[in-house]
Amino acid sequence: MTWDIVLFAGGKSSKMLKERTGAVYRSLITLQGKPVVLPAITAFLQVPQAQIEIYGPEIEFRDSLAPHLSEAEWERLRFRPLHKEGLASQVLEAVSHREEETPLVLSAADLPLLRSTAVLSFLAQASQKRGIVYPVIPREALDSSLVRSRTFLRTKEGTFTGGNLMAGLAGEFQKASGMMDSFISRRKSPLGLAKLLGWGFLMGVMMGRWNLGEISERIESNLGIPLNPLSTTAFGLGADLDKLSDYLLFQDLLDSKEGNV
Amino acid sequence: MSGILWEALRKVEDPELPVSVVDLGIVRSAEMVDKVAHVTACPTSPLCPLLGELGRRMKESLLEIKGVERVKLTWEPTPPWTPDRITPLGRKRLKGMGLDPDR
Repeated sequence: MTWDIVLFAGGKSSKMLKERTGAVYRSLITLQGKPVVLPAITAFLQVPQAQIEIYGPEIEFRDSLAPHLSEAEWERLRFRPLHKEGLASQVLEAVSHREEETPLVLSAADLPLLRSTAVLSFLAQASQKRGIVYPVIPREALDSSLVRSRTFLRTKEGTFTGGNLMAGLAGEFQKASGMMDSFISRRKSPLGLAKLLGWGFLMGVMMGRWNLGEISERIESNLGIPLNPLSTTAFGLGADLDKLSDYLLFQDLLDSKEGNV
Repeated sequence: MSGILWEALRKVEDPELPVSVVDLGIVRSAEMVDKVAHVTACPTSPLCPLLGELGRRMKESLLEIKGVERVKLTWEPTPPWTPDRITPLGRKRLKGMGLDPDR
Protein backbone atom coordinates (compact mmCIF):
# COMPACT_ATOMS: atom_id res chain seq x y z
CA MET A 1 0.00 0.00 0.00
CA THR A 2 1.41 3.39 -0.98
CA TRP A 3 0.24 6.23 1.19
CA ASP A 4 -0.17 9.87 0.26
CA ILE A 5 0.71 11.89 3.34
CA VAL A 6 -0.52 15.44 3.85
CA LEU A 7 0.89 17.53 6.69
CA PHE A 8 -0.84 20.70 7.78
CA ALA A 9 1.88 23.05 8.94
CA GLY A 10 0.33 26.47 8.62
CA GLY A 11 -0.82 27.01 12.21
CA LYS A 12 0.53 30.28 13.55
CA SER A 13 1.94 30.82 17.03
CA SER A 14 -0.15 32.66 19.59
CA LYS A 15 1.21 36.03 20.67
CA MET A 16 2.75 34.57 23.83
CA LEU A 17 4.22 31.60 21.99
CA LYS A 18 5.74 33.89 19.38
CA GLU A 19 7.19 36.20 22.00
CA ARG A 20 8.80 33.25 23.75
CA THR A 21 10.05 31.29 20.72
CA GLY A 22 10.35 33.89 17.95
CA ALA A 23 8.63 31.50 15.53
CA VAL A 24 5.70 32.71 13.43
CA TYR A 25 4.60 29.14 12.59
CA ARG A 26 4.13 26.60 15.39
CA SER A 27 5.67 23.79 13.37
CA LEU A 28 8.93 25.74 13.10
CA ILE A 29 9.32 26.32 16.83
CA THR A 30 12.50 24.59 17.93
CA LEU A 31 12.94 22.12 20.76
CA GLN A 32 16.48 20.95 21.51
CA GLY A 33 17.58 22.90 18.42
CA LYS A 34 15.20 21.05 16.05
CA PRO A 35 11.97 22.33 14.50
CA VAL A 36 8.94 20.51 15.91
CA VAL A 37 7.85 19.49 12.40
CA LEU A 38 11.00 17.37 12.04
CA PRO A 39 9.74 14.26 13.92
CA ALA A 40 6.64 14.10 11.71
CA ILE A 41 8.62 14.54 8.49
CA THR A 42 11.26 12.04 9.59
CA ALA A 43 8.62 9.51 10.61
CA PHE A 44 6.61 9.78 7.38
CA LEU A 45 9.80 9.59 5.29
CA GLN A 46 10.17 6.06 6.69
CA VAL A 47 6.88 4.99 5.11
CA PRO A 48 7.89 3.12 1.93
CA GLN A 49 7.22 5.13 -1.27
CA ALA A 50 5.03 7.64 0.53
CA GLN A 51 4.38 10.97 -1.17
CA ILE A 52 4.57 13.78 1.36
CA GLU A 53 2.72 17.03 0.79
CA ILE A 54 3.01 19.94 3.18
CA TYR A 55 0.67 22.88 3.51
CA GLY A 56 3.16 25.39 4.84
CA PRO A 57 5.55 28.19 3.96
CA GLU A 58 8.22 26.57 1.76
CA ILE A 59 10.91 29.22 2.11
CA GLU A 60 10.76 29.27 5.91
CA PHE A 61 10.70 25.46 5.96
CA ARG A 62 13.73 25.23 3.70
CA ASP A 63 15.71 27.51 6.02
CA SER A 64 14.73 25.58 9.17
CA LEU A 65 14.94 22.04 7.83
CA ALA A 66 18.00 22.26 5.59
CA PRO A 67 20.46 21.23 8.33
CA HIS A 68 18.35 18.19 9.24
CA LEU A 69 17.34 16.63 5.91
CA SER A 70 19.36 15.24 3.03
CA GLU A 71 18.74 16.45 -0.52
CA ALA A 72 17.11 13.09 -1.34
CA GLU A 73 14.74 13.46 1.60
CA TRP A 74 13.97 17.04 0.65
CA GLU A 75 13.10 15.88 -2.87
CA ARG A 76 10.28 13.73 -1.46
CA LEU A 77 8.51 16.77 0.02
CA ARG A 78 6.02 18.79 -2.01
CA PHE A 79 4.77 22.12 -0.75
CA ARG A 80 1.35 23.60 -1.24
CA PRO A 81 0.49 27.21 -0.47
CA LEU A 82 -1.52 28.02 2.63
CA HIS A 83 -5.12 29.08 2.08
CA LYS A 84 -6.26 32.32 3.59
CA GLU A 85 -9.56 30.55 4.41
CA GLY A 86 -7.64 28.31 6.83
CA LEU A 87 -7.31 24.63 7.73
CA ALA A 88 -10.72 23.38 6.59
CA SER A 89 -10.17 24.75 3.09
CA GLN A 90 -6.77 23.08 2.88
CA VAL A 91 -8.21 19.76 4.06
CA LEU A 92 -10.93 19.90 1.42
CA GLU A 93 -8.41 20.64 -1.32
CA ALA A 94 -6.08 17.86 -0.15
CA VAL A 95 -8.94 15.37 -0.18
CA SER A 96 -10.70 16.40 -3.37
CA HIS A 97 -7.90 16.18 -5.93
CA ARG A 98 -7.08 12.52 -5.25
CA GLU A 99 -8.39 9.29 -6.77
CA GLU A 100 -10.98 7.60 -4.52
CA GLU A 101 -8.82 4.52 -3.97
CA THR A 102 -5.72 6.46 -2.87
CA PRO A 103 -4.71 5.63 0.72
CA LEU A 104 -4.42 9.00 2.41
CA VAL A 105 -3.10 10.33 5.72
CA LEU A 106 -4.03 13.77 7.00
CA SER A 107 -1.83 14.86 9.88
CA ALA A 108 -0.94 17.80 12.06
CA ALA A 109 2.69 18.79 11.59
CA ASP A 110 3.47 19.93 15.11
CA LEU A 111 3.81 16.57 16.87
CA PRO A 112 7.20 16.82 18.57
CA LEU A 113 6.98 13.50 20.42
CA LEU A 114 6.10 11.44 17.36
CA ARG A 115 8.28 8.34 16.83
CA SER A 116 8.78 6.60 13.50
CA THR A 117 7.75 3.29 15.02
CA ALA A 118 4.44 4.82 16.12
CA VAL A 119 3.66 5.95 12.58
CA LEU A 120 4.63 2.63 10.98
CA SER A 121 2.56 0.72 13.50
CA PHE A 122 -0.48 3.01 13.14
CA LEU A 123 -0.47 2.89 9.32
CA ALA A 124 -0.02 -0.87 9.22
CA GLN A 125 -3.07 -1.31 11.43
CA ALA A 126 -5.06 1.42 9.66
CA SER A 127 -4.53 -0.30 6.31
CA GLN A 128 -6.51 -3.28 7.62
CA LYS A 129 -9.50 -1.25 8.80
CA ARG A 130 -12.41 0.39 7.03
CA GLY A 131 -13.41 4.04 7.16
CA ILE A 132 -11.34 6.91 8.44
CA VAL A 133 -9.06 5.55 11.13
CA TYR A 134 -7.87 7.82 13.92
CA PRO A 135 -5.79 6.99 16.98
CA VAL A 136 -7.12 7.23 20.51
CA ILE A 137 -4.65 7.06 23.37
CA PRO A 138 -5.65 5.72 26.80
CA ARG A 139 -5.02 8.21 29.58
CA GLU A 140 -2.79 5.75 31.40
CA ALA A 141 -0.46 5.51 28.37
CA LEU A 142 0.35 9.23 28.52
CA ASP A 143 3.47 10.43 30.22
CA SER A 144 2.19 11.81 33.55
CA SER A 145 3.43 15.31 32.70
CA LEU A 146 1.18 15.39 29.61
CA VAL A 147 -2.05 14.45 31.36
CA ARG A 148 -2.89 17.98 32.55
CA SER A 149 -2.60 19.55 29.10
CA ARG A 150 -4.88 17.17 27.19
CA THR A 151 -8.62 16.99 26.62
CA PHE A 152 -10.07 13.58 27.44
CA LEU A 153 -13.07 11.60 26.32
CA ARG A 154 -14.68 9.31 28.90
CA THR A 155 -16.08 6.11 27.47
CA LYS A 156 -17.22 2.76 28.81
CA GLU A 157 -13.83 1.28 27.80
CA GLY A 158 -11.81 3.95 29.58
CA THR A 159 -10.63 7.52 29.20
CA PHE A 160 -8.90 8.53 25.99
CA THR A 161 -7.31 11.50 24.33
CA GLY A 162 -7.49 11.86 20.56
CA GLY A 163 -4.67 11.66 18.08
CA ASN A 164 -3.77 14.34 15.58
CA LEU A 165 -3.89 12.37 12.36
CA MET A 166 -6.36 10.32 10.33
CA ALA A 167 -5.91 7.65 7.69
CA GLY A 168 -8.23 6.13 5.12
CA LEU A 169 -8.99 5.97 1.43
CA ALA A 170 -9.37 9.38 -0.22
CA GLY A 171 -12.90 8.34 -1.23
CA GLU A 172 -13.89 7.97 2.45
CA PHE A 173 -12.70 11.51 3.15
CA GLN A 174 -14.47 12.76 0.03
CA LYS A 175 -17.77 11.23 1.16
CA ALA A 176 -17.38 13.08 4.45
CA SER A 177 -16.24 16.35 2.93
CA GLY A 178 -19.70 17.96 3.10
CA MET A 179 -19.63 17.94 6.91
CA MET A 180 -15.88 18.03 7.38
CA ASP A 181 -15.78 21.80 7.16
CA SER A 182 -18.24 22.15 10.06
CA PHE A 183 -16.59 19.41 12.08
CA ILE A 184 -13.08 20.88 11.73
CA SER A 185 -14.14 24.41 12.55
CA ARG A 186 -16.14 23.25 15.63
CA ARG A 187 -13.84 20.48 16.83
CA LYS A 188 -12.61 22.36 19.90
CA SER A 189 -15.96 23.85 20.88
CA PRO A 190 -18.36 21.75 22.99
CA LEU A 191 -21.22 24.07 22.01
CA GLY A 192 -20.41 23.73 18.32
CA LEU A 193 -20.11 19.94 18.58
CA ALA A 194 -23.40 19.77 20.49
CA LYS A 195 -25.13 21.50 17.60
CA LEU A 196 -23.77 18.89 15.22
CA LEU A 197 -24.25 15.79 17.35
CA GLY A 198 -27.15 16.69 19.62
CA TRP A 199 -27.14 17.89 23.23
CA GLY A 200 -28.38 14.64 24.70
CA PHE A 201 -25.70 12.68 23.01
CA LEU A 202 -22.98 15.13 24.02
CA MET A 203 -24.15 15.03 27.65
CA GLY A 204 -23.91 11.23 27.47
CA VAL A 205 -20.36 11.58 26.15
CA MET A 206 -19.44 13.92 29.00
CA MET A 207 -20.85 11.41 31.49
CA GLY A 208 -18.94 8.51 29.93
CA ARG A 209 -22.14 6.63 28.97
CA TRP A 210 -21.09 5.55 25.48
CA ASN A 211 -18.40 3.26 24.18
CA LEU A 212 -16.05 4.21 21.37
CA GLY A 213 -18.07 2.26 18.81
CA GLU A 214 -21.30 4.04 19.75
CA ILE A 215 -19.65 7.45 19.54
CA SER A 216 -18.25 6.60 16.11
CA GLU A 217 -21.66 5.37 14.94
CA ARG A 218 -23.29 8.64 16.01
CA ILE A 219 -20.65 10.69 14.20
CA GLU A 220 -21.15 8.56 11.08
CA SER A 221 -24.95 8.77 11.18
CA ASN A 222 -25.12 12.52 11.93
CA LEU A 223 -22.16 13.76 9.96
CA GLY A 224 -21.53 11.02 7.41
CA ILE A 225 -17.95 10.71 8.62
CA PRO A 226 -17.10 6.98 8.96
CA LEU A 227 -14.69 7.30 11.89
CA ASN A 228 -12.98 4.18 13.16
CA PRO A 229 -11.02 4.59 16.43
CA LEU A 230 -7.76 2.70 16.89
CA SER A 231 -6.49 2.46 20.46
CA THR A 232 -2.73 2.84 20.76
CA THR A 233 -0.24 3.57 23.52
CA ALA A 234 1.90 5.68 21.16
CA PHE A 235 1.26 8.98 22.89
CA GLY A 236 3.32 10.98 20.39
CA LEU A 237 0.41 10.63 17.98
CA GLY A 238 -1.69 12.81 20.24
CA ALA A 239 0.64 15.41 21.71
CA ASP A 240 0.58 18.56 19.61
CA LEU A 241 2.13 21.92 20.34
CA ASP A 242 -0.71 24.39 20.53
CA LYS A 243 0.08 26.93 23.22
CA LEU A 244 2.89 28.28 25.38
CA SER A 245 2.18 25.82 28.20
CA ASP A 246 2.59 22.91 25.73
CA TYR A 247 5.94 24.32 24.61
CA LEU A 248 7.21 24.65 28.19
CA LEU A 249 5.96 21.17 29.02
CA PHE A 250 7.67 19.56 26.00
CA GLN A 251 10.86 21.43 26.79
CA ASP A 252 10.86 20.06 30.35
CA LEU A 253 9.90 16.58 29.21
CA LEU A 254 12.65 16.32 26.60
CA ASP A 255 15.31 17.96 28.75
CA SER A 256 14.58 15.65 31.67
CA LYS A 257 14.63 12.53 29.53
CA GLU A 258 17.82 12.81 27.54
CA GLY A 259 18.48 9.28 28.64
CA ASN A 260 22.23 8.84 28.74
CA VAL A 261 22.97 6.77 31.85
CA MET B 1 31.19 -11.15 26.80
CA SER B 2 29.50 -8.80 24.35
CA GLY B 3 27.23 -11.70 23.32
CA ILE B 4 25.79 -11.78 26.85
CA LEU B 5 25.13 -8.05 26.69
CA TRP B 6 23.24 -8.43 23.39
CA GLU B 7 21.28 -11.30 24.88
CA ALA B 8 20.26 -9.14 27.87
CA LEU B 9 19.30 -6.27 25.58
CA ARG B 10 17.22 -8.61 23.45
CA LYS B 11 14.96 -9.05 26.52
CA VAL B 12 14.15 -5.33 26.50
CA GLU B 13 11.06 -4.43 24.50
CA ASP B 14 10.25 -1.07 22.97
CA PRO B 15 7.47 0.61 25.03
CA GLU B 16 5.32 1.16 21.92
CA LEU B 17 5.94 -2.05 19.96
CA PRO B 18 6.38 -5.48 21.51
CA VAL B 19 9.71 -6.05 19.75
CA SER B 20 13.14 -5.98 21.41
CA VAL B 21 15.35 -2.92 21.11
CA VAL B 22 17.93 -5.16 19.43
CA ASP B 23 15.54 -6.39 16.76
CA LEU B 24 14.16 -2.92 16.11
CA GLY B 25 17.74 -1.83 15.41
CA ILE B 26 17.81 0.67 18.25
CA VAL B 27 21.02 -0.79 19.75
CA ARG B 28 24.11 0.02 17.68
CA SER B 29 26.86 -1.53 19.80
CA ALA B 30 27.43 -3.23 23.14
CA GLU B 31 30.74 -4.07 24.71
CA MET B 32 32.20 -4.70 28.15
CA VAL B 33 35.22 -2.73 29.39
CA ASP B 34 36.38 -3.15 33.00
CA LYS B 35 33.02 -4.29 34.36
CA VAL B 36 31.26 -1.41 32.60
CA ALA B 37 28.76 -2.22 29.85
CA HIS B 38 29.15 0.39 27.10
CA VAL B 39 26.10 0.61 24.88
CA THR B 40 25.40 2.96 22.01
CA ALA B 41 21.86 3.28 20.75
CA CYS B 42 19.93 5.10 18.09
CA PRO B 43 16.67 6.98 18.81
CA THR B 44 13.84 6.32 16.35
CA SER B 45 12.92 10.00 16.28
CA PRO B 46 14.77 13.34 16.39
CA LEU B 47 12.97 14.30 19.62
CA CYS B 48 12.26 10.87 21.09
CA PRO B 49 10.29 11.17 24.35
CA LEU B 50 11.10 7.63 25.44
CA LEU B 51 14.88 7.77 25.74
CA GLY B 52 14.66 7.86 29.53
CA GLU B 53 12.32 4.88 29.67
CA LEU B 54 14.33 2.90 27.12
CA GLY B 55 17.55 3.73 28.94
CA ARG B 56 16.11 2.62 32.27
CA ARG B 57 14.91 -0.70 30.82
CA MET B 58 18.24 -1.42 29.12
CA LYS B 59 20.22 -0.51 32.21
CA GLU B 60 18.10 -2.74 34.46
CA SER B 61 18.50 -5.70 32.14
CA LEU B 62 22.27 -5.25 31.79
CA LEU B 63 22.80 -4.89 35.54
CA GLU B 64 21.29 -8.34 36.04
CA ILE B 65 24.36 -9.86 34.34
CA LYS B 66 26.93 -11.13 36.77
CA GLY B 67 30.05 -9.02 36.43
CA VAL B 68 28.37 -5.88 35.11
CA GLU B 69 28.77 -3.15 37.71
CA ARG B 70 27.88 -0.12 35.67
CA VAL B 71 26.21 0.78 32.39
CA LYS B 72 27.29 3.60 30.12
CA LEU B 73 24.59 4.23 27.54
CA THR B 74 25.12 6.81 24.81
CA TRP B 75 22.41 7.88 22.36
CA GLU B 76 23.82 8.50 18.89
CA PRO B 77 21.21 10.10 16.60
CA THR B 78 23.37 9.95 13.45
CA PRO B 79 23.07 8.19 11.15
CA PRO B 80 19.33 8.30 11.84
CA TRP B 81 17.24 5.22 12.51
CA THR B 82 15.42 3.77 9.50
CA PRO B 83 13.35 0.57 9.15
CA ASP B 84 16.38 -0.93 7.36
CA ARG B 85 17.88 -1.38 10.82
CA ILE B 86 15.16 -3.86 11.84
CA THR B 87 16.65 -7.37 11.97
CA PRO B 88 15.14 -10.35 10.09
CA LEU B 89 13.80 -11.60 13.44
CA GLY B 90 12.25 -8.18 14.13
CA ARG B 91 10.66 -8.18 10.66
CA LYS B 92 9.24 -11.62 11.30
CA ARG B 93 7.75 -10.52 14.62
CA LEU B 94 6.28 -7.35 13.13
CA LYS B 95 4.79 -9.28 10.22
CA GLY B 96 3.27 -11.69 12.74
CA MET B 97 1.45 -8.68 14.21
CA GLY B 98 0.29 -7.56 10.78
CA LEU B 99 2.90 -4.79 10.61
CA ASP B 100 5.05 -5.13 7.51
CA PRO B 101 7.83 -2.52 7.61
CA ASP B 102 8.46 -3.05 3.88
CA ARG B 103 4.96 -2.12 2.71
